Amino acid sequence: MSASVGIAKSIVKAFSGTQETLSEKDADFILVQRVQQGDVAAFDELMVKYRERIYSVIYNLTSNREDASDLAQEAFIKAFQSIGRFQGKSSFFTWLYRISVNTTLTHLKKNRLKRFLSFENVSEEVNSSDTLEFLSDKTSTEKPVLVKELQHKLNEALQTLSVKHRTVIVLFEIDNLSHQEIADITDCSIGTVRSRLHYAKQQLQAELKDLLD
Amino acid sequence: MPEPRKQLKLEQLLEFKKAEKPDADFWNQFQAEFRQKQLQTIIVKESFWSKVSRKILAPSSILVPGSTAAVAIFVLVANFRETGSVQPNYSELTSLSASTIQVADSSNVVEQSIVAEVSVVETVADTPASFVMDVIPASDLEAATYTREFPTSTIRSASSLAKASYASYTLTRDAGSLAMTSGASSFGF
Repeated sequence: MSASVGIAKSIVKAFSGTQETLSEKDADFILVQRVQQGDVAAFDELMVKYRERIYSVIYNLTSNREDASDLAQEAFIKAFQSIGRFQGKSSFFTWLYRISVNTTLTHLKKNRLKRFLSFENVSEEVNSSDTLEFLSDKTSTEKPVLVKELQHKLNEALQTLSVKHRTVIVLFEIDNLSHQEIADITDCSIGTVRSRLHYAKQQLQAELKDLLD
Repeated sequence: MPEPRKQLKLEQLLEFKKAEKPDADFWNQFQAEFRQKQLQTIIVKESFWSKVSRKILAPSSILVPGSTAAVAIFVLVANFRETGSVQPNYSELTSLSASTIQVADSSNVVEQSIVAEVSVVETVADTPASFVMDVIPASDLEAATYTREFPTSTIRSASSLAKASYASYTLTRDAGSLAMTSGASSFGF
């Protein structure tokens, strides 16, 4: 049952992703061409459009808000510096994600022995979520305390995954990208993406079994 | 009949991660920092060779104005000393034939009939220089002698520092020509 739900979700993501990227791809490419012609302000538009998503991916990969901020800026700078070579073969979004993920993976490899977690603010909307209601009923814990606890556990559980598995699960479950998009970004096959995703979920379920049971 | 026990799914838990978002202030700072880094990338970096050549040439860029200033000071001092013993050589008056020049005045231009121009040749810093020092108006021709004292600063460049040097000459009518003798030079440094 859960496998079929997952496949259906993936199909929906892939379908809606294709529709979105057709128009978004063109709009982005127009902006890219303006940047290539020397219009620096056009890059600001691209940055404002994607900065939250890029930051979110990097934050969820690092679980460190300061690193995420620095790495997101670094990724945008890299994109800005090499935008002249962007030919539009892939969408700007995929290209930018690839730069961001690669920048983050390089950082994580360099600093694999130094792991500091620093968490982002949790928006108020989470207080009314069914998940939090369920967990607070189950554990009889105050919501604010539960939010902190949950944030801690989730981030720590994600950090137990290998970088490759973490990347796939972050892009699929949190950033809602399709298998194909993840394959393009991580430069591997869809099969590899699926198998990494399956393994990552298994591992996370094991890590978070206290919350899931 | 007991209610089936509810269970959370991993996907539901991971939804929670989407609620971790920075506030608006963060984005303002992010934008400002990015702008700074972006500007640094726009500024063309100096190549290695241009940096090297600039470092080699840097001392000469200090030396050139420095040495120029030194030479200028030397010339000025030399000229200052020279002006103390300046003896102007007046050129001979070649002609008594009248000519007309325009004498510029601050308020108007007066046409004046002259019979001669007195020019002086001086050596300033080993370079002979000739200046028209005076004109003899036709009206003065009646006089037997014509003596003028003039400040040499009017004919010398200001940089020679001959601030208050005066020389005089005397013109003497001698038959159909004018003889000129140089008077005593006085210096008022």
